[in-house]
Formats: sequence, structure tokens, C-alpha cells
Amino acid sequence: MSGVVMTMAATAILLVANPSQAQKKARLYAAVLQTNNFVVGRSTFPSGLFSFDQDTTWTHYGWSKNRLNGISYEPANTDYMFMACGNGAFRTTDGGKTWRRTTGWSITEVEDVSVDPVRPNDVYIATAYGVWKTIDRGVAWDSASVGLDSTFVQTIQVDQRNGSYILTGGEGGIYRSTNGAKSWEHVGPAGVPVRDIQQNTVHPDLWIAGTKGHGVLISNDGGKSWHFARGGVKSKTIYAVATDPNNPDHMAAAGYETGVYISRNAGKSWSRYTKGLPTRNFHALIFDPEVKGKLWAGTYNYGVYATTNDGKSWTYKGLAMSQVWDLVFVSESR
Amino acid sequence: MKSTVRCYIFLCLSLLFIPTLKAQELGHQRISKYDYELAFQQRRDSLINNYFNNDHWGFVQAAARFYRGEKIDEAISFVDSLVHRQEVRPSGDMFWMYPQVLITFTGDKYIPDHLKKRMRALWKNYHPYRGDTENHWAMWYTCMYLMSQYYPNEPGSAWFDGRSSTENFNEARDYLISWMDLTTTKGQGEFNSPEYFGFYVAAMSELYTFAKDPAMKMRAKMMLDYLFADLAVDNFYGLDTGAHSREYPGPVVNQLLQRTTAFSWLQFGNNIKRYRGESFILALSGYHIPEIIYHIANDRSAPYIMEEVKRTRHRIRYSKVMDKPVYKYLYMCKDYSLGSIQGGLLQPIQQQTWDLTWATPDMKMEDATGANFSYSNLMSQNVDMKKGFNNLFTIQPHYSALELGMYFPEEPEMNIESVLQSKGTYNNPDKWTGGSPYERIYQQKSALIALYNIKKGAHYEHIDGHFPKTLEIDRKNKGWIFAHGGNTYIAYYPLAKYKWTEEQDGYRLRSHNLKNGAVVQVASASKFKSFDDFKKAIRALPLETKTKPVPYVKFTNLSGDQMEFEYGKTPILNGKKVDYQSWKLFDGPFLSADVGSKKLLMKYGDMRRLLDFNTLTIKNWIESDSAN
Repeated sequence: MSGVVMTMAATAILLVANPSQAQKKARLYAAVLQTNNFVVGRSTFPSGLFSFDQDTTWTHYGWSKNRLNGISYEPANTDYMFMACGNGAFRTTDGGKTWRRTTGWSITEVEDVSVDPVRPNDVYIATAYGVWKTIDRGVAWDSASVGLDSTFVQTIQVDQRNGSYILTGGEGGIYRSTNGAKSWEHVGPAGVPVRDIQQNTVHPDLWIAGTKGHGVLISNDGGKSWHFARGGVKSKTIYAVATDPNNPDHMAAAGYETGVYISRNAGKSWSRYTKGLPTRNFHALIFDPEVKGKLWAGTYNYGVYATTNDGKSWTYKGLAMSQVWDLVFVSESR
Repeated sequence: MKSTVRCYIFLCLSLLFIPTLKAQELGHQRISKYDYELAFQQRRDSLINNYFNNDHWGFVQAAARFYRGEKIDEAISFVDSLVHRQEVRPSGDMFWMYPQVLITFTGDKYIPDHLKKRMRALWKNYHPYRGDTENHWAMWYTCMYLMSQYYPNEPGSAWFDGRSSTENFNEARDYLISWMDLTTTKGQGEFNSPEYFGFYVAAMSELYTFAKDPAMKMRAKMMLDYLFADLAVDNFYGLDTGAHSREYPGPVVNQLLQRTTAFSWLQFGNNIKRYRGESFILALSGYHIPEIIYHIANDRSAPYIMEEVKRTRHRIRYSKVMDKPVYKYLYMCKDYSLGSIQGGLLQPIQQQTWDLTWATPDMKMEDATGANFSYSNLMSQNVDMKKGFNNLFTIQPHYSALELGMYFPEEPEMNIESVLQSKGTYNNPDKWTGGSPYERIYQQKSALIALYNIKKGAHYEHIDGHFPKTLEIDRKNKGWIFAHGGNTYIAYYPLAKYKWTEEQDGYRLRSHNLKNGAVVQVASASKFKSFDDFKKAIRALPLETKTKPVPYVKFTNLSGDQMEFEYGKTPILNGKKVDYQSWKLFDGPFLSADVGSKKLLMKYGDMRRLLDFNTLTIKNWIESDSAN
């Protein structure tokens, strides 16, 4: 299905390619919810998957109303992508032209998805009812929640080096699996719900997590142990975190009534930026893999903004009036 | 020894004939099957004719023409317009799906191929969202079942979701069966919702009418019986009374606005004539309630109690239990209906925790011949009442990110703003719908105790009571507030001081004490010589209340039962804790079902009807011994 160029707000999903693929152009995608009038039954402007063209224009792909929360793709074949949606987990094998709902009625409210970059047949989804796994690209799904104290999980990330190593986060905190989600163990501080987990794509031992009411958690040992980031971000509810693939000391965090926090010293201190931004609510962040220091921010109801000077000023990049739930850069394989 | 044994045997035999509190006294005259069928068919025809004669180009208008086999050209032009509208600006999700299913099936032999092709294309190019509520999924999966039956053996590329007809059909069938199983084992989540009842009925009606598989047809028919039996026991002259999982503000204070009135009129023959699209779909299906449900819905000659177990909507976080039991209690007699659930956040946003409704002269029910007659014929007094506005309840207005986060996956902190787009009163301090984590209810027959222990710093630190202007109210003395509506006397004892304000639709009792509550005692006026006698009797009842450290009431009600209720603790009745764990799915003189059983037994006099979802059978019989 061909996309329609849209200038409305969308969620950008930005997936940064590995250094070995640095020669390939990376395309920015967004997971968008057009919130103006998003009520079941009502007509809305297209929501879902958008890719960035230039300036403030975006192209829409696939479904228009699916409550898209997250996207993941296979680095070796970027025509193959998964979408985490309210309706289930969707898969495309032709770069977004056509989509298939791979999950049935027992899987719903899919909050995030992660494709194993090493074994792309293995895909993991975080849902409001636990973690699920497929080993055949979505033909069948199995529950994979053994060890989770709370089955409400909101974020999931497969270690890019080792597909058996996965981190997931939700109401119970951060959980780690070393056996391909056969079981989970709790890591990190107890009683701290987690909203987002990201792995630095160039320095893969560095992981960062956004929490509810406790700011940012950082791990420098591959997710085994975690410490709270210091500074003004400490007590905040953080929906989105990002680390710079070009500089592991460079981090960003944003969430509920926060503005955008940026750290240049690996989370030891943070600066808060609100000037030039239309809102203090954000749900997606990503550093541009191709433009050093450029940070993209997905807002809540105001589209996408970007900064190239560490947050001092921001440029509107399109998708007005929408919630941007995820941003991913995908290396173009074509 | 011999005489002792004889006495013992005599005593045991005697006990068999002592009527229990739940025994049904027959007073409602049984009508002949012919009269009942005739009356129903007349209503059904009236409903279908209404849409047949309506010229607006809508789904039900088109379906009425297809059903009658008349004005077909007109129907086809309606369908063309509807398809065009959906092609140009697709919308509706499942609310588009089920009307589209309706015209697809009813118009099958009339709609020309070129239009059918466009209709087919809609199921490929439009992506209806599956939704996030129980009624959404009932509609969505019913439609996917029927449409993948209608378009069998088609590949995934022909469907909006990339799944083949077979995949969609199997998934839909599995979900529908799972939902029916859950409802008949743990109770319905979106229980007794006057607003959303019709969508379940529309879905099951279409399944009943259009499914080819006899087993699925039978399931649909049984679910219709189940839904209408559940409605029937709460039905009070056509109004759906008691506690509700979900309702909107308007019908909460004027129950004549309830959407279920259309179904009560069509199936039970009570209430005023009402037409709705969903009741039209039901009418088209040919389904009508069995006679036993008709009697259950209409016979209010003897008081009865219903105890039921429902469940919450799935709790996805902030709870150790996904489907917490909801304990629903109802006391019904010919003059009033008092119903409640236990309080707390049991359903998001639109919960109605308790309600007292009394009969007024404009309420109607069906007599033995099928003709409508007014309730005022039954009343010993002539009372001049306005239509509707005949109910009373209290509420602790509450809204929170926690409530939303418990039931919805979106970011709780941001979700309030999203909810307000469709439920504009959610954060209104004066609202009349919604549950509260600070509210607990205990009811025993016609007495109810509501307790509130509001946390300091809660968004709203007050409780409100709704008293309609149709009541004659006496607040002269301190303590009890007395009220008289229809043939019903009401006594309301506030636990804390309050302000009394007149509003458009009634009076608002507002109390700002964090520790608060009310005792409510209701009685039929015919049981007392006068209103003053009632007041005297109430004042004489033992009553002990305190608000600190937590609200507490000990009250002996008019039935002589001692009710003891402390906020946060299990209520105590006549010295024994109420054992909610032993409650059945349905327990009363008319309905009986054990938790986990997948069965429902209906009883009326010597009539019996058993729905058994384990065997997909319906059994009817006459009990030889009518004593229960």
C-alpha cells in the first residue's frame, strides 16, 4: 500500500544502523497517534506509521487507525518490520506497503516490539498482558512471562549482540532474560516502574531506562546493574530516553511535564530545555545517527521537533496535533 | 423416644414448607402463549414499519426494505450512498461494521454485483479498529465471523488485516466462544449497562440470524436469553434499575432516557414505545424472549432479592487480580427497586454504584391481555408526578490517573485529557457517574449503608446525593431526611453535615466531611397508615453511627435485621460476617447459576428453563412441586 504524504503529526521511529551500515542512509520513522478526536468509532486523520521526507513533510504507511506504539525492524532486511499496536502485532515484508496482523484475540495492547537482529525470526513483544515471543516471524506466538511479577510491560529490547539477552520494563521494573525469554529475573531497583529502555547501538554495554517518578536509570555493564542518574531529572516521570551513538556520554530524557533533559556527562548532570518547545510532554526521543548532536523529540499532541545545538533552540519538523509514541531510524536497504 | 422422633420428623417436614425470604408469591396472571406472541409481533411489526417508512438513507432503513422485499430501488440507493460515504471518509470502526453486516446479509439477493464489489472492497481498504472494551470486541468479532463466512476462502490480501477468511473466521469463533465462557463462569465485565446493552444484543442478534453453523446460532440464541434474563430481573416497569457498570449522566438522573427502554418495550412489553437501530436488528432476527423471561420481567407482585457476581473490566496494573469479583445486590418490589454493588473502583469512569428507583404513575407494564396500562391503576393513592426523575443515589466524585491506569494501557498521567474527549464530565466535581476508591456500600433488603473515607488531598473532598424534585421532602428536623415518591417512603440519614442546593433536575445534598456516609431505609407506603407513621417507625429504629476513626454504622432495619458496617471491613449481618465468597453468579427466586457453571436456570412458578453452555442445550420443563 503506497503511503500518502502527510504534514500532520506522527510518531517518528528512528532506528540507528550499526557502524558497518553507516554508509547506508538512515530513514526516520515515527509511530503516531493523531489525537484530535481519536475516539473509537470517530473519523480521525491518519495515524500509524510515518516516515520523514524533508522539512516538515512525512509519508504515511499502512493502517490509519491502529494505536501504533512501537516499531522494530531487521537490520539486514529493512523491508521487514514489526509494529506494536493496540490491535496486536503487525508485520510487513515489503517495506510498509502491505501489513498483516500476526496476533490473534488473546494478544492485545502491544506496547513495544523488538526484532532479534541476530536471529530475525525471533521477535518479542511487550504487552499489557505480558511478554510474547515468536520464533517464526509471527506465524505463532507464545507467552514468555515466567518470572515477571507484573505482566504490564511497556518496553522491550533485544541485545543487538546476543538475541538470547533481552531487557524488558514495565510496572514491575526492569527484567532481564539470558535465555531468550524463557524466564526473567528482576534487575535494578525494586518498586520503580519503567517506561522505556534503550541500548546504545555503538557502545552496547550502555543501557538507559526512563522510569515513573524516579527519573533515569543507567547501566554500564549490559543491564546487570543500574544506578539512578543524578541531577534535575531525578524525580521525573520519563517516557522516553535516548543515547547518542556518536558519543556515549551524550543522553536525553523526556516525559510528563519535563521538557527535554540533556546530559553531556553520562548522566551525572542534566540540563533542562523548554524554550522553543510548544509543550513539556514528550514520548519519543532519538539522536540522529548521521548528524552529530542532532536530537529529535516526539511531543504529546504537537508533533516532532529537533535540535542541533544541544537543546538551546528547536525546529518544528511536522506532524502537528499528534502524539509521537516512538522514533526510529531505519537504514535503507534499497 | 418415639414421640421425640415424631416431633423431629414433623419439624423437618414443616421446615420444607416455611417460605424463605426469597420465595416467590404468584400474583401476576399468566397470559396465554397466543396473547403473548400476538402482542410481541405487533410491537415487532411496529418497529420494522417505523424504519420501513422512514426515508432517511440509513442502514436500518435499507435493511427494513430488504426485509420486506419492497422499495428495493430505494434501498439500493441508500446502500450506494452509505458505501460512498465510507469510501470517501471511512470511519466508525465496529459501529460501522455491524450495520454494514446487516445490509450485506439482508440485501444479498437484491444488491447488484457492482455495488457488492464496492462493499467487498471496504473490507480490504478500511481498517476498523478492534477497540478496547468488551462491547467493541463483541461487535468486532461477530462481524469478522459473519463477513469471513460471507466471503469464505479468500486470502489475506483480500482483507484489511492481511489474514485470510479462514484465519479471521477461526479467530472470531474462538474469541466469541471464549467471551461466552467467561461471561457464564465469572460474570460479565460490562454488566448491566443500559447504554451498551444494545450493542451486545445487536451482535448476538446478527450472529443468531446470519451464522450458518448451528452451534454458533445456538450460542447466540442462548446469549440473547442470558442477556435478557439478566435485564429482566433488574427491570422495573421498563427501567433498568440498580447498579450499572457503565452509564451516561443524562439517563442516570432520568432513567426514561436509558437505551434499554427500547428493548424492554420490544421484548417485555413494558415502558413506552421506543425505537432504536439495535432493537430493530433484534426485531429482524425474529428472536423473542421465552415466556418465562417475560413473566420474570413483568411480575412485581411479590418482593424479591437478587444476589449476583459480576467481574471488573480486566485490571492490567495496580491490582493483584485481573478480574476482581463485583457483588451485585438488588431488592425489588412493586413500588421500588433498590440495588447496589460493593463500591470501589470496579469500572472506569462511568460506574453507577447504587440506585433507588420508585414507581410513578407514568410507568407502564403489560397486563394479562398484552395491553399497556398505567401503574397508577395499582396505586392506593393518586399522586401527581412528572415523568421520570424518580431515582435517588449518592456519589463520591473521583477521577485519577490511577483509575485510568488500572484499566487502560496509555500513560496514566496523560490519559485524563484523552478521556475527556469522549467523557467530558470525567473530572467534573458535580458529576453523577463514576466510582470512587473511597466508597463502600452494604445493602440488606430495603436498607442500604453508604460509607465514605475520603483521603485528604483527593481531587474532590465531598460526597453528593441526588434527590429529584418529584419527591416530597421533609428536612425539618435534624437527623433523618424523609421523602415520599410514588407509593414509596424513603428515609435518609446523613452521617455528616451537608448543604442542600436546588438545581434544575433536583436537589443536591453535598457534604464536605472526609469521613462520611448515609443510611437509607425504604418502604412501601401501603405498609404504614401515614407518612408520619413511617417517620415515627424510622426514628424508633436502633441506629448508631460514628465517623472517626473511620465511618461506622450499626442499624437495625425495618425488617428487623441488624446491619453493622465499618469502612474497610466486611459487613456483619445479625452478628455474622457477610460471606461474599459464597455468592453465586445469579441467586434469587427467578435466576440461579453457580460460579464456573456455564449454566443459567430460570424459574417462574412451575416453569423452568435451563441454558447449558457446556452442552449447548436449552431445556424447558414444568416443575411438579412449585414450592421453592
